[in-house]
Amino acid sequence: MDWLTECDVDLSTGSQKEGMDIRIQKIEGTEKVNKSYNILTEFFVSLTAKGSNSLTSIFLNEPNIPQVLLEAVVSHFDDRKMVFEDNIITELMLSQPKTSSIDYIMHRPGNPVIKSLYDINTPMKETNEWTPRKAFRVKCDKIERYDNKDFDNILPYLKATDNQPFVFLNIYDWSLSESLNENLAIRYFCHKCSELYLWIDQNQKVTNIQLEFDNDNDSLFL
Amino acid sequence: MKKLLSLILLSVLFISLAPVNTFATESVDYLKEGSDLVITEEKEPSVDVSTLPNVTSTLFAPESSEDMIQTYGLSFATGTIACYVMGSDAFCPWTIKVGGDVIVYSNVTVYLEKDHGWLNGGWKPYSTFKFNYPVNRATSTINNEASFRLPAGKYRVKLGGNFTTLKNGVYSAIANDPARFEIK
Repeated sequence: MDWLTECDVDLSTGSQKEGMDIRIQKIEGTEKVNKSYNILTEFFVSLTAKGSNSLTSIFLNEPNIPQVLLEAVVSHFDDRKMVFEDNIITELMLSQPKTSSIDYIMHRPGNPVIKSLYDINTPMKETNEWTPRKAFRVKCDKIERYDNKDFDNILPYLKATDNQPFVFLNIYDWSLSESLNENLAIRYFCHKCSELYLWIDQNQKVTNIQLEFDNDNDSLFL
Repeated sequence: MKKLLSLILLSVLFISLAPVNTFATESVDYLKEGSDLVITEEKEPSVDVSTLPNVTSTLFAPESSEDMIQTYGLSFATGTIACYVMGSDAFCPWTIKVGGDVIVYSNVTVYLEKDHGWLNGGWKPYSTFKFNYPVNRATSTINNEASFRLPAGKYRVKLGGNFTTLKNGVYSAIANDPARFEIK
């Protein structure tokens, strides 16, 4: 596969904050929020529904939860928490997407990039096995570009944490094959990111996708 | 004899630190785990979104502890847990941080023990709260919170279980130096 090259990725992060006062609280009262459906709903519900009993975090760098997140994302989950560090909201923790929200997404055509990443209509083969993994850099000059303006609206909410320059997404049903270079998500991210890595285990299963963005692309983020 | 005893102790220590290459096979159900005394989400402090961002809460003298977690391949890995009390509810947020890797799966357990007094056996297991789930957006830090509604008494919590990192696999906690709190 001339579009992948094995490499060693440094996952060192920036300085860790010490002595932070951490508090976690449930978010309630979302019945008063005008629930809406948009591309953010589709992405975060699909991501969380794909991994059985999984937990999805959205990292914030402003003191409020943006209204669009409350209406289009938070209100679609039964288990909703927020993390405060020194009394500042830094993270939303979401699990247990509502059945009605999953049904809504399953019966609509859906965004092609999200379908490539998390097609909730495809049954997932559960595995609890961990095997050693290796990182492979995607040679994006060998990947055909794919643009998707709708998915661009999700990028601001994929921001990494303050001390982590990369973004990871769990992948649940990709296997390594030559045709993976036609995957729409890979084609999309390749030309949005400065670096794109696939983490592949001994069973040739892609377990994670790692995205790195240039500082020039800060405008993409919140 | 002393050498033999040392060897046995070392073996026990090594076994307790050894990495595990598969996830625990027990069912994944972190909100429903624990004894009948475990209070789940409906009893946790909550925030009405209409009141955001002016959410306030009182913290009651948390006593934190740090558990070092074995660090094969990691530059560091630490877990921190602290508890605060509101009436008869105890809330114990925890954090795990790793260096040079990211966490992809939480299999963390919070162990609660109650002090039955010196003459009645001292500290005895009281409840557990499990946090078993895939971390969809792997990061170097994960947080969550165990909550308990409890009768009066002295308690302590320990952070245990394990977690899985992307590069280095499963790491088990060494529980020590528990965080203590009292329900009056």
